[in-house]
Amino acid sequence: MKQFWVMYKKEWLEAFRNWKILWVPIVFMILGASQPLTVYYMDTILQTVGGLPEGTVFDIPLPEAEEILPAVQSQFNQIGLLILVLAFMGSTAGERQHGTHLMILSKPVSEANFILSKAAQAYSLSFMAYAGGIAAAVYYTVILFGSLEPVHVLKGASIYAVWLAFVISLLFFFSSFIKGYGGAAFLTLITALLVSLSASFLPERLIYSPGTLSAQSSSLYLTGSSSAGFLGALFFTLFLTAGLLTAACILFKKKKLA
Amino acid sequence: MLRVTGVQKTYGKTTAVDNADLHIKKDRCTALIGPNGAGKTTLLSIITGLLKPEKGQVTLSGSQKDRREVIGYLPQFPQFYNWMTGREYIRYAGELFGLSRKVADSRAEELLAVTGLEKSGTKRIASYSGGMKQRLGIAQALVNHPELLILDEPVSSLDPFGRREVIELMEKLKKDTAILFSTHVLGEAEQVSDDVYMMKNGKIIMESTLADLKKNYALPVFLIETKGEIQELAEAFQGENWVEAVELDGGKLRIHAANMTQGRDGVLRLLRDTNALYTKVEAESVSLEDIFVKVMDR
Ligand SMILES: Nc1ncnc2c1ncn2[C@@H]1O[C@H](COP(=O)(O)OP(=O)(O)O)[C@@H](O)[C@H]1O
Ligand SMILES: [Mg+2]
Repeated sequence: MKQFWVMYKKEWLEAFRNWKILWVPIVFMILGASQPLTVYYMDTILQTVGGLPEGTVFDIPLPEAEEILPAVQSQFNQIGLLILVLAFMGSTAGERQHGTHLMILSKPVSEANFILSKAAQAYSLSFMAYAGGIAAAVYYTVILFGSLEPVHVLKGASIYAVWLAFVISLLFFFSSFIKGYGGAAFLTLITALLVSLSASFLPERLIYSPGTLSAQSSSLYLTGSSSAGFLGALFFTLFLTAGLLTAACILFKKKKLA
Repeated sequence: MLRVTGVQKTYGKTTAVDNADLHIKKDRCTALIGPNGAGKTTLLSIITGLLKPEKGQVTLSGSQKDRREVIGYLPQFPQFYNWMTGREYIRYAGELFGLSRKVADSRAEELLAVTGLEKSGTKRIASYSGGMKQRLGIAQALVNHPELLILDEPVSSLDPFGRREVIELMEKLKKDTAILFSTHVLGEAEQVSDDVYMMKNGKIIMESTLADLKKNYALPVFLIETKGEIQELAEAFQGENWVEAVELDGGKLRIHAANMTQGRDGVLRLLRDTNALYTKVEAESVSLEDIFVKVMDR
């Protein structure tokens, strides 16, 4: 356990030295803030950027405050996921590609600590960034659109975080046996996309799929209540996440020198 | 202290290590010599525990359950976290062995001094030269006071100056710890090693102590320098029945004797009998390189 903390701290130091600790949260905060801002100022933007005939009066009704966060979340689901995958795709693949792991693993270091310390740091930084993004979104939503129900926000945001955790575990799973950076990143994004799409096309069939969590989260934002299969999907996703991480440790142990 | 028995490892169709046996003794420096692709790196990786052999085993005397606890390892191409400083890296290595941060830090300071990096300890590793990285690699391998230090080609990638430094360091270190190192640079190996293993196509094809090796492969050739008339002396040798050939080689005589004993006796006797004004008499030494070439050609 002590060794895990030593390695976890090293990952943080690295994130600090290569500025990841700054840029990942900043990107999320910009993503979070930009949604309420652009929606609110859409009117003005359209008029200045123009091209519209003189005197056209636009009367788009402003959405309700609750409707903003689901839109923010769809931003996170597209750009946010890509950012996280880019930020952490080198975590194990990079060590294997450069060979920095050889001097580490020739010491009495467990392969599980090697993978899990990296995963833990990726989770910590991702959740920090995500929380920052949500905070920025909530801040501008409340200022521009009116108040939100804190409990709804908290529930909605935490459920989506579970989906993020699942995607990060996919990344660690794939990079435990794929050497290149690109391959693991690509497979992670494709898998995440397939899981999302399949869940939205077949919501009755795949009621417990991790892909349903973003819809559950939207529904929590909007109404504060979830739809059918919520708990099942939540626990199944947590179970898959743990399973993927375990598999990552086992596969890495086998493939570490290849 | 460490025994390798019947170790085998294949990659597809290549047998990288083929039924290798090795016995590393305490307080000795063992060289593993072989051309590129002989299987040295693979064998050393198996000994450190990075790779699992398909057959055979590695046993270490002592009671630790993980042999990595008492081994120090420098890979052939050491790669560091370049964003760390040298001192941070050694400290991190120490903490991985379970040392407290404080103890690891003072160990780091100590090892930077041993390896001559005390001035560079606070610089990022990214700015280190090849020789400095190699020394840092040795420093991190020493952090746990290893009983066995394993160095994979510690000098091959260095310029002559860097080689000198690393060899001198190894000479210092071998007083306190057993060393096993691989190389295809033989001049240096000759300087530090006590035991020699030669490897080819995954097989250990020769094992010996360096001293025995030199004795067994010594050629019965003698070099003589003289102030007197060299031509006369050459003719005198030519007349002896134990002499197979005499060469005149830039003011030196090279006498090829039939064998070592007859040669030793004969040379001295003849020099005395002819009252030769010799200035130097020596048995021609055989280098590890000569032996290596011979063994590899067999
Ligand atoms: N990871 C690997 N995959 C496939 N073949 C390998 C691998 N590592 C080594 N080999 C092969 O095993 C043989 C021995 O390699 P190596 O142990 O690196 O030799 P050396 O260190 O003596 O140069 C070579 O033929 C090499 O091509
Ligand atoms: Mg090698």
